[in-house]
Amino acid sequence: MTTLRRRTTQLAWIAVILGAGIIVAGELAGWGWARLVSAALASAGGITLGATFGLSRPGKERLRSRLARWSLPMASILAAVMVLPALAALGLSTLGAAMQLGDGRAPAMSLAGLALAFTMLAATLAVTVVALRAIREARTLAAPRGDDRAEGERA
Amino acid sequence: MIPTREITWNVDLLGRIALYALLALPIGFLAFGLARRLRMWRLGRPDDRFDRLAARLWGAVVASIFHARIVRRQNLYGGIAHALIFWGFVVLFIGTVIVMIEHDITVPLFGFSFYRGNFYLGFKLAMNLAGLLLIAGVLMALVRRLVLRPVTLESSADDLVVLTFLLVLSVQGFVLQALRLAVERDPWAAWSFVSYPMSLVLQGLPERLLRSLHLVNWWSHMLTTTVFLAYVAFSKMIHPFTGLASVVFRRLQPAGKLEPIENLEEAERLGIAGLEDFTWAQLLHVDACMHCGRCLEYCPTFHTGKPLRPRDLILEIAGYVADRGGIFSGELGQGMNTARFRWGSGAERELIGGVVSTEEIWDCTTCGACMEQCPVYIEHVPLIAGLRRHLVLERGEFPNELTTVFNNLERLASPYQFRPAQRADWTKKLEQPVPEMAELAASGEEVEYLFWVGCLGSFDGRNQRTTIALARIMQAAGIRFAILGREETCTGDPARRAGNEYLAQLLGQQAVETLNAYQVKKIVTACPHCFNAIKNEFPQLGGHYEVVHHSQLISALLAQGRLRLDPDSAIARGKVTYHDPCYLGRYNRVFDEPRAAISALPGVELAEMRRNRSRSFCCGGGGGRMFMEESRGRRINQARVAEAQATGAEVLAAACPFCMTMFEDGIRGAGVEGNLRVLDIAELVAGSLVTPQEDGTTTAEGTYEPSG
Repeated sequence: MTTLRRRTTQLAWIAVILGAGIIVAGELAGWGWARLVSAALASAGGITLGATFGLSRPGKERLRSRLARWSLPMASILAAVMVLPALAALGLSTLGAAMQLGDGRAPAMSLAGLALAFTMLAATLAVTVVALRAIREARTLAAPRGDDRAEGERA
Repeated sequence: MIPTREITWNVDLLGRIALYALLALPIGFLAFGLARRLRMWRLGRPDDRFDRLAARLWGAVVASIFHARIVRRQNLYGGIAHALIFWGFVVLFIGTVIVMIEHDITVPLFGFSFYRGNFYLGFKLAMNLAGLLLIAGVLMALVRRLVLRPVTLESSADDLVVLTFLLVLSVQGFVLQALRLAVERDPWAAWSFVSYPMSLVLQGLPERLLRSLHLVNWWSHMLTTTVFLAYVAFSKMIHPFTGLASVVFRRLQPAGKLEPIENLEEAERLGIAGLEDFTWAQLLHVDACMHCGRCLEYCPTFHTGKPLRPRDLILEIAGYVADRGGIFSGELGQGMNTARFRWGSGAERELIGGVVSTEEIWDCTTCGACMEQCPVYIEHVPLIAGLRRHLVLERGEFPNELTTVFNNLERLASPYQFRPAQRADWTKKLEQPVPEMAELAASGEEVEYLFWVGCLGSFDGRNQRTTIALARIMQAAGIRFAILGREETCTGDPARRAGNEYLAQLLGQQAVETLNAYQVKKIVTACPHCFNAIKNEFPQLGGHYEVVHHSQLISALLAQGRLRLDPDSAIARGKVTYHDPCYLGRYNRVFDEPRAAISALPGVELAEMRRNRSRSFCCGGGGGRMFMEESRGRRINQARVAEAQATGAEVLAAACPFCMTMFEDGIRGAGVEGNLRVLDIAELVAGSLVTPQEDGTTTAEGTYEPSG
């Protein structure tokens, strides 16, 4: 690692940490300006770090083998965290609708709302399942190291 | 009460901190992915793609914002789905930036808020509309990938993951808004026309539950955004960056022009055989491929079941360069209906033979249909030519049939085994003599046009009839023209497209020297391959001429009234369909003149084939393919003949000697000689000409003789 690159990386890390520190202080103290400063520092630091590592000579990339191996569990956990809260809210809208039955408030609009909620719920659920299945199939076919085409064909 | 809302409504302190503190993570991943790609592109050879920046940028605007190559008639459903996703996403992104400006800049720094009143109401309306369009687009795309499954489309896990992200992000946005509206019950809530009805059904739930649901969904939305942004650089969602870059750095030179190998004698590596042989622009282009399959829509090899599928070829190369260049590549695998991640593939294999098969390389007809359709302007044909160059010049490996062609070109300056002295033999069949340039130069006479006859037009019996017809037309119109005769050589087009760049440059140089020696200024030719070479490639060798295709000249002569047509001529009556030669139409945009010439014929009705003009379907003869056996898949020429027959036409009008030969074979192969015949435009017009007779009467020329 050259001195310039080392210094750049160090500065970038400082910017990221400083950005995080400023937002913590800013939110506690109610400094509105801290948001912009924090965002600018975090973005600049993130871009510099990403670009520095990205432009450097690639290593053995063990990470990608691991990512390939763990893609399905990772995707399943992330899918749960990302999708379940929305599904819960959409699902509970049925309960909400039931609790309002008979109060006579804009029934057509409520029906439309229920239809929208159900459509979104069904679409989100179906798409997530389809994506997870596709990741599973891709994972089965992909070989993280060596001649993956041959591996894929064997699979 | 002024319409507005609190931007971080119901978000706790930790959430507000995390929103900014974790910003470095997705941005860092995005920067990493882009920098890795930049690093890989820079491994390529130099290529000047920074000229005419205004044209490059405008092209990028047209391609991206207006979806010029995405929303097209032949792929309207997919195009509309993409446009909905694109516009929905762009508007939502702009909306996020606007909210950020209000929340982080104008209010805290200047104490000024614009996110209120009518602006706020319009904003809500626009965001709801954009979110709805985005969801509609995603659902349409999913239906296309999972239900409709067009033959040109293959789906990978990445495609579905990206669509899932987009759908989940949009749904989360609406859910968050609905939950807030259910609690706040804004009087102007109806402006959020999607979230508002949803909020009505949620109002039945206790407020505490609604607030908790909102907070959990807010965190979930933040996490989804962060993961999505981090994922962008390693997925097809990188295409807004790579695709745009690919369009900006597209080739602005004529599509029909292949770049020569500079300093051929001294070049250490010839053609493309490894990562270091690609130009940086080629690396960028293959990296930008999103396997949309539009390149397959008019591809003759794909539609006749041959191993070459331009998309798969590009993806194979993309996987190879990604591995050698050290980037993640979550792309399709080998193609062939196998969707999988491509991590780790290709690094150990040779490019030619290991990653790309020689069958793929030699199957290409160089028709350019793939390049014409590609939304990110990938240049397939120059890539294939580069691979062929390596095979021919470095390895000496090429189909057996080309050995004879190369030998003939080298010895006789023609792909055929005819002596140069025979080039002008066809003139003996004409009543009026055709002068040669050498004779005219000796007598100091000048001509309006040099008639570049071409090898097929000179030696091939069937195409000689076209040559004779054109000569008669020019004589009838009183045009002073001459030919080169024995001095004419091949332009080098078949050699260049077949990878023999050395021979191509030799032949081109020879031709340019001859033309320059006679100070030729205007050239007419009936061969689109010669037309393309003279127009677009001879300038590389110092040859600058005004060149017209015979269909352009004939059309102009008809328009000027310099040709008289016999209304009783019977050479062709009723429906005539016209085939656009690739090197005339797609490569040089000559579409209207041939049609004008045909339409001017008495009693003729022009019937278009399903695939026409820039979406024409190749005859199968380009790229040196006319000289090779077509052993794989169905025959391309027969596929096109069937399309011509489907119009109900009795005549298939051609404007290219290669197409003529291919269609004559195709008609015989399909056994439809009695139903369909091929005639060149020159033959059609010459056959309808009124020519003065010695007794003062006139008669039609009638040059057509039934073939076979």
